Amino acid sequence: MNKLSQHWKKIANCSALALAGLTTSAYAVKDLPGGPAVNQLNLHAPATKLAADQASLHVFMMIICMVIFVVVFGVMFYSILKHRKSLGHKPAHFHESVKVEIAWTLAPFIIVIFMAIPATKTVIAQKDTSNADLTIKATGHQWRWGYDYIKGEGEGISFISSLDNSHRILSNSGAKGDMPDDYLLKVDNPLVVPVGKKIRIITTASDVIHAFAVPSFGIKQDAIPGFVRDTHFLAERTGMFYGQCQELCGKEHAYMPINVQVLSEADYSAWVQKKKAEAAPATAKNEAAPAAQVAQAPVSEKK
Amino acid sequence: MSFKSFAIAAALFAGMAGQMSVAQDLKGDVQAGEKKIAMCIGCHGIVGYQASFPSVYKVPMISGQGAKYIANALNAYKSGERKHPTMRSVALGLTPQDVADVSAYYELHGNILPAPDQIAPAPAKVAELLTKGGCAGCHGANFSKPTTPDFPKVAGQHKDYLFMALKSYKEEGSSTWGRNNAVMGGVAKQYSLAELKMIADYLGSQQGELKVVPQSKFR
Repeated sequence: MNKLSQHWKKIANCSALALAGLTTSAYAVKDLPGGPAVNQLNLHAPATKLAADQASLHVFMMIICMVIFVVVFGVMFYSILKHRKSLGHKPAHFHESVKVEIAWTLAPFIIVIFMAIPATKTVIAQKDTSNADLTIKATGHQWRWGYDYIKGEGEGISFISSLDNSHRILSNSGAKGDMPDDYLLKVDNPLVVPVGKKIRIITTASDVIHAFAVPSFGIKQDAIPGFVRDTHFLAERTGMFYGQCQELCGKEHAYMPINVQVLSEADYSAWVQKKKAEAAPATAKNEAAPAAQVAQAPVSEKK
Repeated sequence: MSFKSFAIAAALFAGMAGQMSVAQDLKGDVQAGEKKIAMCIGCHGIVGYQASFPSVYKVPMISGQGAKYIANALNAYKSGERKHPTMRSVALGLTPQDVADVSAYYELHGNILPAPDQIAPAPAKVAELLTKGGCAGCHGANFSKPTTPDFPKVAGQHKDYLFMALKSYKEEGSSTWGRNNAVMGGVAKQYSLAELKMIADYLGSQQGELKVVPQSKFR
């Protein structure tokens, strides 16, 4: 009994803390460019043409829905008010009107086709992963992302990207006080890609299903163990972009962010050189057969 | 026979010397370790949690395991000596200091009661297998008191995990799983899978010091 009351006390404390957090610290957080904004209601600001297309499709569908909503409810409420029984209106009695049947079959059909044409164009563009300039494999692990640069400039680069542990500690202690803008989105090694190049992301996983998603790029693709799926994006501006694992994958699901850094082409080449230089002495030391590594290195550099 | 045990001892020594040079002089801090174990809890702190690669088995109990051994295992995942994609990604995200802290934390995690000095005698067939491999020579007579802290306590560990671990020492040539260890490789390769299963079943059913300690639901 005593234990139970203790638990209740703890629950009460927790909810008090949560309330305090809502009222005090929430105001200190600012918008995160490339990530979520404060009180954001709409989609993320698009950084790729596909994301912009998705956003305009979203608006387009919304307008159609609103028009239908207004027309249907307008007619309904008008009829209810103006043709009510107390004013002496009599209901019409008819059955199996072919004209009405055709009208209410054709009208939605035309509306659906009208909506499907632009949507299909975008869906097909989303699935077209051919002719990529750079191919990167993103592997979901419990609970980190592994990136392997498979083809294109930077081929052979491979690293693991994980949440900054200081943010995990902040979360554990109840996320009180001043929170960083990139709270739970900051990683040690962001995925680095060049601007204006078509990047193909191949997704897979080593344990359970994860999902690779970056809202600003308009991409989301499940990463399934034993399967290979792909998606692509072409970033139109440089900067940091953020996403999160979007398939519930276990206890730390909320703590495996995706952070993509888009660099200018020159900066990207410099980054590749730096990564190669870091990797070269390490492989020479670790590998039993350095000759094979050396033989491979110039080939990838020529590309 | 004596040559074999000499070879094992020599290999042991070489292996230990190699491992010692990796994490020397690093003192694990239990308090700091507590802040770095969020990901460990996600599997090792959930009762009955099963890994799905390369087959389904319960993830090992690590609360009460020796700190030195945990550090060795993490470093082996890091270097590729042990291959497992998920554990590799976890280990690669840890600095040498993180490894020391996490290991120190788990050694003292939970209310660890010392294992009995005497465990149930093995059935004749299993006893023969254990003698053949010289298992007690490193892991201790009760399999909870390894002769040096470099080796794991194995008594009471999950049977299916023990089997998977032993089996993985036999695996060669796979790029995604297997363990490469001079000593355990030599030992495990002399057995058939059926024999490894018998050993794992016996060791797993003994009383040991290992536990799964779930995270408290309240803080």
